[in-house]
Amino acid sequence: MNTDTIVDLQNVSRIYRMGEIEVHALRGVSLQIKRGQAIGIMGPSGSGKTTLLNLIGALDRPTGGRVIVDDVDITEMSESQLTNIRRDKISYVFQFFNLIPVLTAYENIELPLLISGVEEDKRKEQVDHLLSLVGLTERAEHRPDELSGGEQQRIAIARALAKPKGSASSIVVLADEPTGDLDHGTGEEILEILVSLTKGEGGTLITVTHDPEVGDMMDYVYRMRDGQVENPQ
Amino acid sequence: MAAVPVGYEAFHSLRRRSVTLLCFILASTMAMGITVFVDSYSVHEWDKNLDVGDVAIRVTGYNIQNYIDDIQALSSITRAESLRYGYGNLERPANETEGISEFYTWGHILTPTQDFLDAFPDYITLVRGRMPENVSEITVINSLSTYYEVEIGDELQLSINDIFTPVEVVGFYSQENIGDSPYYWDYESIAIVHYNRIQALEAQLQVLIDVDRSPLTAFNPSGSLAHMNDIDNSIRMLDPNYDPVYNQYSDLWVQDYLASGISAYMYWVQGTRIAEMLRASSILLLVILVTFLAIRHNVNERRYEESMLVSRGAAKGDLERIVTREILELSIVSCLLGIPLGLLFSRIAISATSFFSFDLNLLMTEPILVSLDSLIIAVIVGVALPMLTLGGYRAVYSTKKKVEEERGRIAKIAKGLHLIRWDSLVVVIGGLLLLALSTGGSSVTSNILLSLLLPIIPLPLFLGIASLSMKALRSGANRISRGMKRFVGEIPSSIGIRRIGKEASSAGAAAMVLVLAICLSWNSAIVDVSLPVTAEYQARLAVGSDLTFILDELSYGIWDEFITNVTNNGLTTAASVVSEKPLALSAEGGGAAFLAINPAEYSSIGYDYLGNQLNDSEMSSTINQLQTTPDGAIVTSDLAIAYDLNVGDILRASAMDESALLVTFRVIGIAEALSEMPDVYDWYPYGPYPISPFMPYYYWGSQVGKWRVMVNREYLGSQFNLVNETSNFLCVKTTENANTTIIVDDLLASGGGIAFQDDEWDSVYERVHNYIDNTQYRMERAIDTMLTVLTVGSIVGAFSIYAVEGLRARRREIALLRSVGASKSTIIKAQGAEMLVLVLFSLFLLLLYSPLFLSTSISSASRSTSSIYDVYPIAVFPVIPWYTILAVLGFFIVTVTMFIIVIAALSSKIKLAESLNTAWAESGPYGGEV
Repeated sequence: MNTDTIVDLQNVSRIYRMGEIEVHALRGVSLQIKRGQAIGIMGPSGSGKTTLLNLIGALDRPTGGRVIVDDVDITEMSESQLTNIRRDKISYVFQFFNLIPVLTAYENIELPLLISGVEEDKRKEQVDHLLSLVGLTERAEHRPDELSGGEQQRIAIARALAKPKGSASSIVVLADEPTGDLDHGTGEEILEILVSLTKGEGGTLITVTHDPEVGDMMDYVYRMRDGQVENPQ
Repeated sequence: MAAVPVGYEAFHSLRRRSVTLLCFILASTMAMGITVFVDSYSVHEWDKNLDVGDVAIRVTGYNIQNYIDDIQALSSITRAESLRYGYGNLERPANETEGISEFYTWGHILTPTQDFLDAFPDYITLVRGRMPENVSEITVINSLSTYYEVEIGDELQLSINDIFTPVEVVGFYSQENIGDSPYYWDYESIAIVHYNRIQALEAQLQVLIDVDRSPLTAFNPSGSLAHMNDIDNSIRMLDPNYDPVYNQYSDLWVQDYLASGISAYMYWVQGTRIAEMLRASSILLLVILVTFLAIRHNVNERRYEESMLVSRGAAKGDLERIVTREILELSIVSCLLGIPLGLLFSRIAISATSFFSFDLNLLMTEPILVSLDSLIIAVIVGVALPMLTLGGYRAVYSTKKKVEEERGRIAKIAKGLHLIRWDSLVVVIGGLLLLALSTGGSSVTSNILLSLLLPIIPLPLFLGIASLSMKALRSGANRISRGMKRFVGEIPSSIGIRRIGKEASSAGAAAMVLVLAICLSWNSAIVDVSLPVTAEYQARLAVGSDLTFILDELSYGIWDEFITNVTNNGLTTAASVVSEKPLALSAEGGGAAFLAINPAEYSSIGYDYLGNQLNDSEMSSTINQLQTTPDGAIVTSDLAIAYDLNVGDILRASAMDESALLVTFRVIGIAEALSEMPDVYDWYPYGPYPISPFMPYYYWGSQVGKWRVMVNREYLGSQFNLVNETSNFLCVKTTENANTTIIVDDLLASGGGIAFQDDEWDSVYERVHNYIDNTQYRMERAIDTMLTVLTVGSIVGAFSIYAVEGLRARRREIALLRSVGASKSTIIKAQGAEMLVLVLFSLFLLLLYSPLFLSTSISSASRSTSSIYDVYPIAVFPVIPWYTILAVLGFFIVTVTMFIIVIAALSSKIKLAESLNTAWAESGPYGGEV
């Protein structure tokens, strides 16, 4: 296995069954993503972009094929094993931020570190660092409903990067339309932060987007149509 | 609406409807359960009311003899015969030499024919002797033998035409349905004489009728009544001049006992149904609260869909009509489901012998009666309650909206109320008022206005506490979260507990539902134990001992023998004779009842007003002092105040007869109340009248134990003839829970009845069992049991709403936690921590609210133990059944905990991708509560 490859999809398919109707969201997708890359996935609605991201992120299971993340085949893993994978290797940035409304900005970022069992002082150090990276140190004690959309998305990015130290190169940050709910200027700013921070920390970024300008910021853009990748690397 | 936009009906949610339906079912189940139970139990009342004996109808009238054959020929009439009688007086002059007292009575004198006796063989039962064979003989009602010691061979004077002639008693008879009684008005007839004794001009005739009773059934009382009315009418119609429309006066006057019984039954059932439903008003409040939460949930769950539809041009009114239609449909479905559930719950009630005591045999043996009325009531309650609550919700919501938008007068008022903190004001004022009323005792329960106010006050108090609790949750959730970190962990406390603050209105409401449900169950448990104890302790004060006989002064010679028989009975442990005499205390005529006791004996037999044995009470030293201070007197506090008496003062009293003998006592103690003795009645034909001292007007059975003086019997005996000038009683201490009826039956069987006056006795056991065995008491306990079980449903409903509200956000939160690597146990801990704090908060509120609520309801419950006329110093003796209290609490906590576990487990089973990728936003400007 090539240690440069962080994500390896082998003939992955995903079929959704709704009664007698079958929807082939993915049809035999095979691709490999290198460590440290910023990858974009673009395509029309219904092309399978989000489904692909869900499979890489262990949010869903493929109907066929194999999904290998950081040399670990997660296809047949149990739920608790997948929990560990999500905790240690995968982070998400969603279109609608998905911050926990009862937690402050500080606490939202701290959450993955809490779950990973990082000690309090190290947590504080890391959270403060991430807050300063996203430029929201003064908003640390605010809750999501007190933040603007851009600020919330920055918190979400900081949370995505909150992993125990030393594991950055194993992190895959999955971003599903991270700028979809933001205005153009804010979106650009967010994407710059996302790309620079992820790559800067040594992680790999996989972004689903409709925005061609986003695609320009990526190292490679996969195009999808009807559940298939049109331009595998 | 002109056109229905596509997708209106697309936003149906099975979960929303299910939760709403679950809450709505409570109302119809409760209504159906109560009414079916009342109807089923009422079968006993039906049997009681229709037990009129052999004679169902009595017909009298002008020329009745001409109608007998026609009456006999009517259909549905199984037997009919005429009974000839006259009206006369019967007397026996006194004969002091032979110790015979006079008596005088009057009533019907019968001359039944053999045809009559053959048709109604049980109407007259010969007890002793024989029927009269000539005009000089008479057979009299057996009561005359019991109460006036008439014997076979005695000569009485009979008058039917104002001329008294002697007749010899040859026998005694009894009549069906008439018990033994000294009262003349209880006699259907007083004597049977020979046919020729009553002349034709003096004779009257009535036709006694029995009917076919098979069509009469408790399952169709109105049909049964109609059937009897038809028979009555057919009898009246025998008079050719009678017309139900144009001439409503028939020569034939019909007295229908069965129709009266059926009417009384119908009246009783109707009244009892309503009374029991009103009694369940607290549970109704709980049901209304849960229904309100369900409707709020139903409306809130649609707000995103509604916003979208409104943005596409749908009118608000159209959307409101959709909600109204769904609520109506769900309420109708809830009736269909609630009716069988209510039937099931009514069986729980029918098998309850007291609060949470069951006799499972009753499930099979007791009838089940589902009347049309109960179905109608269940449907009305099941439909009307949700619809009215929907109207209330809309009124509250539109007001709230106006307040938020600061529109209109209401907004200004609301702003003002907010500044005044109306909820704190209500709680403070309500709490103080409640404290004042609940400690007012009998002066409150006997005042109509205050006693009406007392059960109402917990309602605004409840609302005030509910509002404060929600505010406390909202503002205190963060603090609680910080405090609970070390107990439940960082993530569960941060996420799980703070969630309560966010969902404070439904969390607070769920907490209040739990609190109210537990309060109601505790109330039932406490009332169930307190009322019999209250009845017992009050009876101890009224009877003066466990068992008290009124001694007959004419049988003084056998008193000692009687007392020996009593004390030799295995169920008695001690006995003492006490005497009572009314004495005047002032020239204006004020007086009091003086109870003369043997202190050494009576202290181990009598009770104080708190229900304690005298030698084990605060009065024990004073009672002992009565032994050593013969002229001592213990007076009640009202007397002491009225006559300005203190300990050590002299009390002067005088006899109320011509002698006006003056007796002085020394006040050695003042008590709140003193023992009473059973009322003494003289069986004069003009009576009965209690031998009443000249008392203040309110003595007449109103204040029990008041206006009394306790003195030394020996001392009183030195002033008066205790046998002739006082009323004497034998006060008996029995073994614990001894059945006094057995004791009395043993004594009567051995001829001891002669020693006590006219079979007069009273006992604590009889009074308590008369109270707890009466229909209303048993029904109330059974319904309390049923409603307690029903409250579990209300808790499930309220917590379901809480769990389901914001489900999308909750599911996303859980999905997010799992996506960042939180394990299932962490997630379950977070859900559990949230519910744990909610339950702990509920328990805290319970400690705060339950004393206020329980004190009110116990004070209100005391009204049922005191009769209209008797007011006791202590209205109710509250007893806390701690085991039952803890069991009920444990039961509810376990129910909620199991519910929490189920919800927590179900919450963790979600599809991550679906939850995280959904398009509805819950935070920021799109979220918030309605």
